[in-house]
Amino acid sequence: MAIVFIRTLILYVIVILGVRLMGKRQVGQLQTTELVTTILLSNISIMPIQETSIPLAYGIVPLLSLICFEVILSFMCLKSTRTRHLISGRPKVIINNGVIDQKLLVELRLSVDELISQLRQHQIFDINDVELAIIETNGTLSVYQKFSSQIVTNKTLKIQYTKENSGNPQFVIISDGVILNDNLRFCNKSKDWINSILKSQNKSLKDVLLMTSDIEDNYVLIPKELTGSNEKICN
Amino acid sequence: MKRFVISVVILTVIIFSSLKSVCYLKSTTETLVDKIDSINLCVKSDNINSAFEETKKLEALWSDKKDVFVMFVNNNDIDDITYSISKLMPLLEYKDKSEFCSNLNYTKSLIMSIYDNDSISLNNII
Repeated sequence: MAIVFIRTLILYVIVILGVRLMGKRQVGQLQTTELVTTILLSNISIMPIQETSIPLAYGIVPLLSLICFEVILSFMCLKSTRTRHLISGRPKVIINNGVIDQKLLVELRLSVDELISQLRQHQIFDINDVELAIIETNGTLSVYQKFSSQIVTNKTLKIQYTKENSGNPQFVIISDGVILNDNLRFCNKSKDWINSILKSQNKSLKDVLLMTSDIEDNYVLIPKELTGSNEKICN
Repeated sequence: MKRFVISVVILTVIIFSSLKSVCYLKSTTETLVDKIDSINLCVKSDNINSAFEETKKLEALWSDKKDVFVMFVNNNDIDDITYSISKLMPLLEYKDKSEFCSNLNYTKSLIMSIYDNDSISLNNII
């Protein structure tokens, strides 16, 4: 049993490192080759765990080989459009000027129900609102709505940017008592600034569950419940 | 680019190690098979003392090599060879010549199958 445990641990670490090597795309939406690799990885890693007579190398070598093939193929797809189209295919326009391309629907083996379901996931419940819809290479649907259905933006309303009406994104600078230095630098803030805020609120770093800030002096501080208070503190 | 380079390096190491392991298996199985053939020769010429010595050397050689084999050969195959070799000395001691030769040849075929199963050939790939 100890052998199985140790093998599981080794393969688990290798799979995690392998997925990291393949990059963040693995965690997000998958292309065809990435999906194939992910499925194969999970099946291959089980073999040496379940069957202890198989050398560990019989699991590690195919794992690493698959991961390397995937990275190399991704790199080739990046450098060559032809390779990219060969491996991943091309995006296809499924709705154009509000008209569904029924031939393409059959070619893609996509049912109308699936198409409508994907539209609903874009908060579109009336197909008449769709100007253009494209099936991407990873199978997701991208939609461009007709002008009358589009969400109003500041640009449409011709609202000009001013300092007063601009919003800045908030970044997490303290997460569960730990300062995130990269985000702190992004907000042009320093640890002294954090310490002064905490001192003014009578809190210490370990009392903080979450603190966010933008590049101005606007912040939100949420203390941990264990400190006795969990009300949000804003500036 | 960094990931690409790391992948190419890992793949190169894998290919190189695989080829090296096949070469190692070939040379080691040939050594073991030669040893078995020499034991066979000793037994056929009724030179039992030499057969004893050679069998002891075979046991020592196998004991040495199996620690490396275990990294890339199925453990069941290694166990089979170990059991088979362990039977040789008692058979020689009790002068069971026919059983000894039979077991020796069985051991030889087990050892040869290790390389045959791992060699780069169309049979093994299909």
